[in-house]
Amino acid sequence: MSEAATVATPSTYNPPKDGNLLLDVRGLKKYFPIQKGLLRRVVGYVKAVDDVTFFVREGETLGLVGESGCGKTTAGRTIIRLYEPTGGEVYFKSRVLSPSGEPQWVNMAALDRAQMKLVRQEIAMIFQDPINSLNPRMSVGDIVAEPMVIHGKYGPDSEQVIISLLERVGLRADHLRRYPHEFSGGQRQRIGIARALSMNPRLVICDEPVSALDVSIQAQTLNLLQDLQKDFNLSYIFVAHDLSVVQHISDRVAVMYVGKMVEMADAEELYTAPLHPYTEALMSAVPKPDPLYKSERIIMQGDVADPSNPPSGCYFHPRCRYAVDICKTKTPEFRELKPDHYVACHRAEELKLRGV
Amino acid sequence: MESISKDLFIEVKDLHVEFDVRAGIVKAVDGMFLEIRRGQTVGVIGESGCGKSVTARAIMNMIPKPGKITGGEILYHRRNRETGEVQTIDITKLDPDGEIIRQIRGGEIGMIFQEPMSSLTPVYTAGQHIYEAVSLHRLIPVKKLGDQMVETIVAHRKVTKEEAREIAVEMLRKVGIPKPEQRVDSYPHQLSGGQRQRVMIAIALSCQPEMLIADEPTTALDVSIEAQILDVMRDLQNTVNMAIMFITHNLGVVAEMAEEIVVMYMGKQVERARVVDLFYKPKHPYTQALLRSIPRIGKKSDVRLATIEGMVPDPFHLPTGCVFHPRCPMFMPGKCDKIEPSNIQVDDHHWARCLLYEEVKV
Amino acid sequence: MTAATLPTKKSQARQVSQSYWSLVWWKFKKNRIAVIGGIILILMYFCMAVIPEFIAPYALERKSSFTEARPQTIRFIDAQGNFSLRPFVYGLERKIDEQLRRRTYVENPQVKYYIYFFVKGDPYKLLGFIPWDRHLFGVDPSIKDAHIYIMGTDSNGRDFFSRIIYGGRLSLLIGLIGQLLTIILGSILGAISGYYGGAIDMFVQRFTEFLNAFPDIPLFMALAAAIPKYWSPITVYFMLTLILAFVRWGGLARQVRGLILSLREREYVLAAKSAGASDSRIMFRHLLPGTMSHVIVIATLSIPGMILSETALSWLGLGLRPPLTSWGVLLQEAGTVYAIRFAAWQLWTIPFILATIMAYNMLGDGLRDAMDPYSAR
Repeated sequence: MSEAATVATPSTYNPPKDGNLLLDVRGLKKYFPIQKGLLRRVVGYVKAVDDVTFFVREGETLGLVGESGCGKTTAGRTIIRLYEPTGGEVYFKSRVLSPSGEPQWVNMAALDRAQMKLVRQEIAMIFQDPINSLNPRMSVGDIVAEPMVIHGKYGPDSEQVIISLLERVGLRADHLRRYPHEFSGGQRQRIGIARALSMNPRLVICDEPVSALDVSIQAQTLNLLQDLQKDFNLSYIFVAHDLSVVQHISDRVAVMYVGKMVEMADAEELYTAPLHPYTEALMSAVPKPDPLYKSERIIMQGDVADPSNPPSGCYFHPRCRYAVDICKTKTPEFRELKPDHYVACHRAEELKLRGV
Repeated sequence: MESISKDLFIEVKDLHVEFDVRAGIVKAVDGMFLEIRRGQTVGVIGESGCGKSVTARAIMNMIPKPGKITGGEILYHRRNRETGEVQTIDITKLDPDGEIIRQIRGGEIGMIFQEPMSSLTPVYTAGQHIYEAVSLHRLIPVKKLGDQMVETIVAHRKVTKEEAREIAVEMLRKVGIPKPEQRVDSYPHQLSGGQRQRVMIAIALSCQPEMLIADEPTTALDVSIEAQILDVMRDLQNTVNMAIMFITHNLGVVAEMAEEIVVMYMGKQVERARVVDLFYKPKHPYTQALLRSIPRIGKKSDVRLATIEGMVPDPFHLPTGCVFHPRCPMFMPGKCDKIEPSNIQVDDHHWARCLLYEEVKV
Repeated sequence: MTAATLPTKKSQARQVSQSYWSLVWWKFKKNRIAVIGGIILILMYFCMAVIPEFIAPYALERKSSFTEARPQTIRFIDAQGNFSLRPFVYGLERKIDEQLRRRTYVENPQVKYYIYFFVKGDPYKLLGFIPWDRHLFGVDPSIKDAHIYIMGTDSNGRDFFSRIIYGGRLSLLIGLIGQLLTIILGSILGAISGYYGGAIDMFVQRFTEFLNAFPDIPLFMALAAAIPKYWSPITVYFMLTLILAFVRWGGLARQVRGLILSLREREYVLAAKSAGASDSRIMFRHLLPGTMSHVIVIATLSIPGMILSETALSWLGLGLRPPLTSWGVLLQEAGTVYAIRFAAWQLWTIPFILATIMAYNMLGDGLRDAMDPYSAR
């Protein structure tokens, strides 16, 4: 399968004029069927990702936050089709699929297997669990080399490339022949980062990359990710639940709740002037590492809604202290209220919300 | 002096806990000091493996095999619930399966863990968990009329089943579970993560313990649920005047909850201070570095995070002198790698284990 | 983090770089019982399956006039009290037991046959192609009528010890080969079933349930009865192996399927998928190696069941039949009241079967502990 022979899917996609986008996700859906009985009859769907729209610009970091079960991890995995999307389009400015070498827009959700495999060189993933994300039976060298082997790019010079990658992420050349169990959590995460970078990707989806690490190791890893972003001109989708970490690393932040996107804006703006009541409550709930901070916490009552049986109207209305009648009946539209500031709330214009 | 000692609840003095594993001996706790007063919340912070959970287990005399307490003492100033007399017990000297420690565990010192799912028995309902705790530990005062004089004698009896159920419903209501009369019959899998942690708290509190050990109680929970749980714990503490030992690695949580903080590193207490002093005037370089290394919400900056260089040392090859010296930005060659610092008072109610504050001759 | 996991995790950091299998080996070596079990098995397989012709003093079908002779005792001291460094046996002499009115044998202290090593005897082909005539031990072939039957003889006058050794070849190999087939069948079908799920999974699972729902023995009987009588013994042998494997793969397939289901959601599998790895690469590089340790343990522990099945079937007369000699066939021949009453030495097969099964269990238990080298201890 030669690359030149592969023709990119012609797309009717018109990228927005404003930015140099790299990824544009439109109306992405991922429903998991709930099966019951011997015949596995489908009795319902878990709408893990339900009509999610967002974009990533070249060289930037988009933080994707939300509570557990909100679909942020599923969204990240559906983009690169670890899960097959139920609906929606995922436009990506791909180089490998373009015959001329000039970046060209493709709809990843519609690519066939062979084309998708090629695009995977350009998008990598970093996982949360530093123990589970590395195959215990493979040496560090084999783990980092695997993407090269898969794409038939492993050659005589590759070992040198891997060594320099390992050194770049703060490991040593003599770690090459060691096995994952010999490393600490932070080092394992570095191995995972080296693997992600081995094909020179342009977009890296980081799925909770620091949440399993200790505080001091977390800082080292975040700094490393930022340095690598500069050196390799990477774009990140940074999926996390820790709002302070996301604020630190992200240029823009998107907030999800029960499979829906509720708000997306510049990080600074989102944290200081949120437009969605959920964003406001979520940020006020974060414990501040400052004993003199006067906490005016908004306690959200109840639990996160069940994505297989979500409430009517706006999914957040049962926990929202600003909810009015329309919120119970009509699903709010995700719209650009201010330039580059998107929100899905009926009352976004009138509410005066408090940031941190 | 008298009043202080009356106030003291738990004193951990120079505690040592060792694990004898195949590859050698790990000093999981190596010279730990801790004081908890009645009604006080003490936060214990540190990275994973620093010995904070082991210390908590030592207080319950529940060190798992192959670990054992090899030195120091844990003084428990036990107050008799009827007479109010205070008797001092060294928990390390108790038989770990004996009658006394079983009364203390759960009855006088309650404990909640990080993972509420695995801490609850899947075949027991929420209510049954509480009945079990209550029937083991809770006694109801009964009034008896004496023969000679009209005199009330306070005695105790075990609770009946109906009373236990009432207590369970009441406890579930206190920890903020909606519809407690129905929820009391729910099994753990029917509850959400936040509700399970509330049930854990309800179990721990149902025997009216004088101290609660909370080992990372909110780490597995979402921030909105975490906020609810912290709220519940604070409310309960205000109403029942209970001491809390709050173990966490989350500096935000500890800043909100604790009055006093103990910082641990490699099994040692490196700093102890009141919460404001610790966050605003940290003395130990480890604490300083830890505070600098966390991203703070609302304070977006383009600068890199300060890091603590290197890794936590291998417990089989501990550094000489101060265990933190290989990672310490204030490392003084010839001093820190030779002399082991002692736990010295650096300020009013502020202790640190660092040679910067110690006059030593090289 | 619990306190107990902390020290062990740290302790691994100290070990020099080792692959998974070298860690397993390192841990296995420390388990003395398992090592003994392993050595016993290696010896048994080597002696009985590889070079039985050399170990056995007589050829399999070598008949003699000594029928149902009692075992001769190996001696160092003769009736006169003279010590001889070279062991010897007394010759057997036929006698008629007047009371029972049957022929018996007694040892005659006048006739001494010294035991020599590497004696010339019945010619054979070692490993099937090297012609040789030496045997591990025996008596001087130049003496007329010299004989050594350390475990007696059967009703045809064949040396019972030699028969046990030859019988071991078939019995031991049927366990090993059958289990190998089971592993191949079970892990491939289990892996496919677990990895793809859906209709394939459904079909494989129902089929294994169907097989498991049958009681073993009647199923064996039905299948064994279908083997035509005119087939050559060696074909019958392979058919029997196939039948045993076919009936038993279901359990292993289920276990593999379960393991694959849990491994499939591991992040390293997702990582390989996100890098573009093909299904077969994920299966053979990431999933199956992760199940191999479990499969080996399960297989080791179920080989005894395989051997016992052969024994049971042959004993029922449904498995191997003479002239093939297996432990089951030997037991079947000994399975009469007459044999037990007058020729109890024919039960010598049982200690051999027991030793094999115990050795397998010792080995299997040790492997189970060693396969999890990341755990404590």
